[in-house]
Amino acid sequence: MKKDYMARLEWAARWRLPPQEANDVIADYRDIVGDPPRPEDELLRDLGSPRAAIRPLTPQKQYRVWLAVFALLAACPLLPGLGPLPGMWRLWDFCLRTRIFGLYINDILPFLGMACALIWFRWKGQKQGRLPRAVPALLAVAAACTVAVLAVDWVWMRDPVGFSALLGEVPVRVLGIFPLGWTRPTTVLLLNDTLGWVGCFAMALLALLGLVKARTGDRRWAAVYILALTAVLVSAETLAFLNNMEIGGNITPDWWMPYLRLWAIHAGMGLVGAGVALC
Amino acid sequence: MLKKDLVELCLLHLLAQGDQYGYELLRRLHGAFPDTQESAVYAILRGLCQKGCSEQYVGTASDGPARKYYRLTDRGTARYGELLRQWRALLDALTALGIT
Repeated sequence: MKKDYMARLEWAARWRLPPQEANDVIADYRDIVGDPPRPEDELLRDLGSPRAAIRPLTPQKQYRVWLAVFALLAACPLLPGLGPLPGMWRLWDFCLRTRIFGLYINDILPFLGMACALIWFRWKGQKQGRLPRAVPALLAVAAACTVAVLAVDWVWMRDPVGFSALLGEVPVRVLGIFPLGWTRPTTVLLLNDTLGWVGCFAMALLALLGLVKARTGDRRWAAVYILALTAVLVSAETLAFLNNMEIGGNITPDWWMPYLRLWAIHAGMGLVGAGVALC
Repeated sequence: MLKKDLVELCLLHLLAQGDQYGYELLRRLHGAFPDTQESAVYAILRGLCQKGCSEQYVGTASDGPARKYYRLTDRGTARYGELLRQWRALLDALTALGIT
């Protein structure tokens, strides 16, 4: 029971206080909570809830700055990440079609999220010994998702006329894929949609997890945030592109190169950003 | 003078008597003010450190583990005097009103 209280208090301290102060407070509370060991109900009576115990120690101005940074960093994956959910298409349109200074919001978000995360956690975060074991595993998941989305896009783009003809003739998104049977285009379409949705939504949640853990634990969790953010944006861009594709018959064989190049640049940028965050 | 100032005065008073183990300070203050949670007392103690009124150091008892102790600084001594004056003025005002 004592460990539960202490674990919650540790989380609250790391969330609300600057890292060095959080370390001091946690060390002090280890003495208070554990010397002599006290049951949880006694701790709650004498100290209050972990959050209530940390609240009076919180430097309000610094905490508000952190909340603002958190809101900004969380918005970067959530805006495009929640887009494919039912009823959220306007959010998606906002990200993919609104321009600021000539750039689409979806093109600004990766730079914004990555730069802010790197600067903030380098400045305010801290390493805690060895790299947490979950970080490489989750980085691999985010990287695999990005690579899988790009790979399916590549298959799709190799035969754009065939795919677009199929989609043009049959309202796939109304009827569903299955009436068309298991052909190569429908399989690719299904894969693309599934990966796109998983990429957008699950990776947005993974980015949030990385963000919260970078604040409350080791700052190198920011690498997970950055790579998952990359997966969200690449997935959102490819999903949007393939859902809006209108291809005529007279296209050049390498028409898809600029698109794939753009997504590859985003993916490469994410990899570099994640690498920097791990250092 | 608020209750927070009274707790602060008590903390400074205890520290003026000699260096104190942090947890012991909290226990004693919680004993004197049972309706005030130890976390609130700890927040005031930490506030004193941040204002430079007290400082921490790690010390060891004869055969015990290393522990954090608190000691009063010059600024803390000045603050103690100031709070003590406020407390006496309050006490005089209450006495003048017949509250004893």
